This record gives sequence, structure tokens and C-alpha cells, in this order.
Amino acid sequence: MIDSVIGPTHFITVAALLFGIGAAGAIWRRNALMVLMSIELMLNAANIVFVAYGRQYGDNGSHAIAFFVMAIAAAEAAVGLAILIGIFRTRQTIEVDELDALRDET
Amino acid sequence: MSAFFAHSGLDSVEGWFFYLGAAVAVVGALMTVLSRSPLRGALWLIVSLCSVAVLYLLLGASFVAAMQVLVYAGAIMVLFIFVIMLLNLGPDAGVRPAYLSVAKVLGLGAAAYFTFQIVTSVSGGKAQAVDGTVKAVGTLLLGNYLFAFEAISVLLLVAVVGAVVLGMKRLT
Repeated sequence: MIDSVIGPTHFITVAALLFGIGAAGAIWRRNALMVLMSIELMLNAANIVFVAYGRQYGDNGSHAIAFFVMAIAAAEAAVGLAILIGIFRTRQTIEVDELDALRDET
Repeated sequence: MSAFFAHSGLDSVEGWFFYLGAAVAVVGALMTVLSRSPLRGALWLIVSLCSVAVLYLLLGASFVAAMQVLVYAGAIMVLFIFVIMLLNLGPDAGVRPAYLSVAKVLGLGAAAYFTFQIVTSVSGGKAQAVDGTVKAVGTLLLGNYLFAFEAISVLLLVAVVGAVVLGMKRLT
């Protein structure tokens, strides 16, 4: 595995692709649930970069950081989904374009 | 032909597993973002997350790979699917109409350029052996990263309390 030509460049390219797809989804999807899932994709891409560089420089602290990112993603998903349920209860929709209560009226 | 295989890493088992895992991860992510129904999107996201776990295994991070399957593909996605079924959402309006502006083109161009620079600037040199076993990472978590580890546990507690409070029916 150490002598493989599959280097960090390969993994970071995959991470860049996943991050780009996730960012596009977060920007262009209308359903707030899909926006949250796209954010999970972006967090995953960041994790891949951490672990890939960790192998490049022989530091397994990156594994601990990836673990922390996962814990924070779990917390974010729990709170975000609870907020979505609250919004759905009062507005009967989670289309992000319809949730404009904080928009400037002018 | 054999030079191509050696150059692209397709002459080794790791190479094949990498390309398989990477392709499934990217296709799963694309299908997640493109699928109309949120439930199908969530199922495709599980496919993508599991293939990312394969990539972690190739990087020698067995603990992170196990956590990826358990925490991400297990716990977090179960939460998502539970909420999708609770809200009973049908296929949605999909993506909002995209229009091109100078700012978008400039931003995308800059992002692509910087990504290319980062990807191509990774220093060569041999990858080093890392110990990604539960024992090694656990020692690290309860040693060097003890404060962060405890802070994460407090954060998770706060998130649980916050989710319960947000999900409670208002008694008005």
C-alpha cells in the first residue's frame, strides 16, 4: 500500500469533486433537506483531505480530526433537522425559497 | 499498455479498489444532488458515504472507516430518512433556475484554478505508514486531544438538548 502510485493527489481530486458536487447541491437545490445532505457531502470531502494528508506526512492525528468532524456533523444534522421540523410545523413547507421571513421588505 | 496500467495504478489491487471506490462515491454524490425525491437522494448518499469508507481503508485509516459506516451511513442517515418519512415529502421542485452572472463565472473560475493549484502542488515523496487502528487513534484521542474530545462530548450533549427543545410542541 505504501509503494502504490495512488498518492494524495488522487484522493484530493476525489475530495475536490465531492466538495464541488456538494456545494452545487447546497446552492441550487430548493429542498432544505437536500441542502443539509449536500453539506454532509462537503464535510466528507474535507475529511478525505485530512486523512490523505495525514498519510502523506505520517501523522495519525488527522484520524482524530476526522473523528471530530464526524461528531460535529452529527450534532449539526440533529439540530438542523429539528429546526426543519419546527419550520415545517409552522409554515407547512421546507422549500428554501419560500422561507423569506427575514428578508428585507424593500 | 502495461506502462499505462503501471502509471495509473491499475496494476495493483489498491489501484482498482481506489478507482472503484472513487467512481461510486462521485456517482453517488451526483445522484444525491440530482434526484428529485429526497428519499432517493438519501439512499444514494448512503452509497456515496460507504464508498468513501473504502477510500479511508485504502488510506490505512481503519478506525475512521468504521466510524464512517457506523456514524455517517448509520446514525446520521437514519436521522435524515426518519425526518423525510416524518414530513412525508413528495418529489420537490428540484433545482432553482440557474442564471449566469459575472460574479458566478469569476467565482467558479477562481475556485477551479485554486483547486487545480492545490491538487497539483502536493509534494511528492513516499507516503508514510500511519497507524489507524482503534488502539492508536484511541490513545491519541485520550492523550493529545483529550480536551477536544471532552469538548465534543459536551457539544453533542448540547446538540441533543437543543434538538429536543426545538422539536417540542409549543405549549401556547
